[in-house]
Amino acid sequence: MAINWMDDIAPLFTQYDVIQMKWKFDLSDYNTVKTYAQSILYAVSPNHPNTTSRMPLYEDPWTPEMIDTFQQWMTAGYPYSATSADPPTPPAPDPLVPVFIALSNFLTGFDDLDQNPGLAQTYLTRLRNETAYGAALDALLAELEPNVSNPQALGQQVLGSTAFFVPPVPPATEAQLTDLAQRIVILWYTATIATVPTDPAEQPVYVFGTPQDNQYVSALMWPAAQAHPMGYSTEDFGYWDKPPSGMQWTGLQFYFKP
Amino acid sequence: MDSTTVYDAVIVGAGISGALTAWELASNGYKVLVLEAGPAVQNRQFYIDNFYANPNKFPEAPYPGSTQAPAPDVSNLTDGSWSDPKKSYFVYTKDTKIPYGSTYERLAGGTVWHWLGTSLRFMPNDFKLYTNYLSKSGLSNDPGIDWPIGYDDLEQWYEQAERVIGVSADVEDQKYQTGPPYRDGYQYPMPRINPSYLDGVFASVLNGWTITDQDFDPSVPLTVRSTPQARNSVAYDGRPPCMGNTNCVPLCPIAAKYDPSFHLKKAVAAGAVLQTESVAYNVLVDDPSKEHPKITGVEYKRWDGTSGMAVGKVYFIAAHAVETPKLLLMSNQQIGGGVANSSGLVGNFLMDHNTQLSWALMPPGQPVYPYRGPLSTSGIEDLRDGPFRAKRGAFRVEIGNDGWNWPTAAPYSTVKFFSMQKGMYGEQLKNAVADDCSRHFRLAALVEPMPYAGNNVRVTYDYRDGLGLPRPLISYGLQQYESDGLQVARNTALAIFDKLGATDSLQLLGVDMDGGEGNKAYVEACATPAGFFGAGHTMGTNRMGNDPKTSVVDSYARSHDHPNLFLLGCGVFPSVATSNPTLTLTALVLRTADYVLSNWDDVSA
Repeated sequence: MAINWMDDIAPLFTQYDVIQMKWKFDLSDYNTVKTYAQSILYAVSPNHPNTTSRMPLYEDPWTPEMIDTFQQWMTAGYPYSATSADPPTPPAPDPLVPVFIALSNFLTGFDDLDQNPGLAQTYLTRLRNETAYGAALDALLAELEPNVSNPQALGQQVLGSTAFFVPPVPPATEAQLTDLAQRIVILWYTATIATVPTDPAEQPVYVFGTPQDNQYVSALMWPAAQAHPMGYSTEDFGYWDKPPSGMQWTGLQFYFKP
Repeated sequence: MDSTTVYDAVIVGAGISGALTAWELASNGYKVLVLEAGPAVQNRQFYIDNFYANPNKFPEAPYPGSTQAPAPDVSNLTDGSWSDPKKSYFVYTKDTKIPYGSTYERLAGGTVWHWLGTSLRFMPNDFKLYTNYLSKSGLSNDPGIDWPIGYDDLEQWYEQAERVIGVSADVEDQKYQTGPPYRDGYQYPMPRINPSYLDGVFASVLNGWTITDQDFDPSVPLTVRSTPQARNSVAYDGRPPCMGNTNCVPLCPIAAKYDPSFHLKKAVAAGAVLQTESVAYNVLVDDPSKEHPKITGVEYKRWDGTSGMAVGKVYFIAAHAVETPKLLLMSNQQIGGGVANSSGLVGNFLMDHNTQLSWALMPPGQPVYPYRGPLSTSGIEDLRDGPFRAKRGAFRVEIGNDGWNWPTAAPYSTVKFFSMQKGMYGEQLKNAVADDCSRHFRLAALVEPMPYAGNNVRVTYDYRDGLGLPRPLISYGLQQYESDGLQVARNTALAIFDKLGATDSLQLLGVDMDGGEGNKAYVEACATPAGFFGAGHTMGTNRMGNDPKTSVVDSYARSHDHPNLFLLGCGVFPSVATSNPTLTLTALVLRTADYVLSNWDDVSA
């Protein structure tokens, strides 16, 4: 099989490499690595005269085989995968994504979910595919659309005095809509959607999305807990001997670090 | 590989013992074959992606399972299916009422892929549990033995082990009462790992405080001590310093924590042959009528069902403390009782550090900011030794930086609780999660068990694995020594919570904490049916000793029965103390390798 980004090149960069180089560029991104391929090749080649950068910094140096693989990939014209020369073109934007983000901001208590529209699109698709509420969700979003840029009005519209949603939103019942709302919350907070077992004695399984979408590391419970995803820290050695940097947030109060 | 190739050394198992032995022998020019039942090491990102995607974040989450080399699974402990051999790999004897709580991995790199990294040395008294303690109370109901070696014999190997796997610590932090003495001027290869913010809060409240109402005698003031850990505090051995991923178990995503894949790679680079997906099932013996017959080969099955044979001069079985005795007991049935088993003790004395987990909530407004840093950076070591060891298990207290993740899978469970149970959403939910999570913490007490012949590994032919090989039959239980240790550990945790002003999880659940009833409820409320957790420390099933009648191997892990057979790993521990076993295991393996290299003509004769 011809050398390509997905199978051969992306695995050359460790999570450590990717995080350590984030200040400059994203080594997990095909286009970035393609753009900077020549400089990267110099940096990983031992004592290359064209650069003073030596990479990787604290890990074992790349083996001759790894360097050769990278060079072959460059020579071959940066193929993306075994089946495609170029990365897939992103699908046309879903018109309901902005209102889904507005609803999600309201339900999660975060106000910046628009920073990651790709993730919102992924979650909207997952909710349509992995729950029974696809039609109900689309109907709800269509109804909320007029208030897409008015969070307060959108909140008022979503929130009833006793019911979670203002009925009637066909075809779901109030209980179903509460369930849907909780699934949206759980999805954003934990990156999981629970299965509905056919046998009620069985426990639901909380399914994560595919790793490629960065869903696991984007789960909101980590920033809510003022932590990082377990298994994905972007901080440096020893950060843990101090409270989280900047504003200290206990949920009960805000106060500045002494 | 074809059966006509004769290796100098055949090693069964590519975990830490096998990898280090292969590395030592291959580096010294010996021809080495390593047979591994499970799959080869893959790119680290493969395991990371597996972990991210797995609905259960158990110790085995990143690692691919197989029907050909199956292994026990934590999910069988948490969902109660451990006793059903159709669902769980272990088969249990009818009399076994509680599960054996620890699991292991079968893949190249072995179980140490998902170890925590805690690298405490044993204390001098740990090598003499029988003489110094058990014999005085008459509790030992088995041929009681001490270790055949003492702390002094192992000290230089501890130093070497700390260098080989890379341990970060400050000797000054490790000086306590009967704790391990260090050579004058000794320095760990790396500076200590910074204690967490949470450790600091604990130290400010607990240091110098004495628990008076328990049996600690003499009562010692507590000290929160930085833990020696096999994770990098600076760049070391081609691996970067820790970034505090809070994921040591099950996987360090950046290789800052030691795992055996590093030495497996070094061994292969030095010329060792690693053959994966090859499950050893029969160890062959030349002439069973001899008093000390030699091992002549190891038969194995490939994952496609075909058979092969590995031949060498010296054999090392390093398949961890369940698969090693299982393989010996399956082998060479004609001499009766399997290989290396003239003592009849192979498989006996299965042990674990039965772990008492207590978790609590700090008072409002007193966050400790867990879910950050390595999973544990400090512990309380001063309670690991004392006259009480004649009557009940000692323990160390590990302070977790992972909040309630181990006992409750928080923060997942925290979000689900506030969203689904409390109906919260929006700002209120976000604040509740922030408040709760910032105050989570847990203590884990690793309690020392006594060795019992009745806790053991046997082989059952009634249930088979995917290759048709028999499966392990486990007999396990706790007695007074262990349950009293767990009880004192629980009381100690409650006393600490009280001192911190923290609220125990059972109080949060509204369970009455008074007297024995509270603890009964606690036991019932725990996630595992038995009310304690496994530590992942499978130990004790082919113990070392000087007397061939009461032990399986000598102090060099050499079989008393077969001069060219060594049994590596923490199966050789006659007693298991309170330290996590990997450092001591590593010291023993390096000592064995040195012995084999120095006495090659004798061991290979």
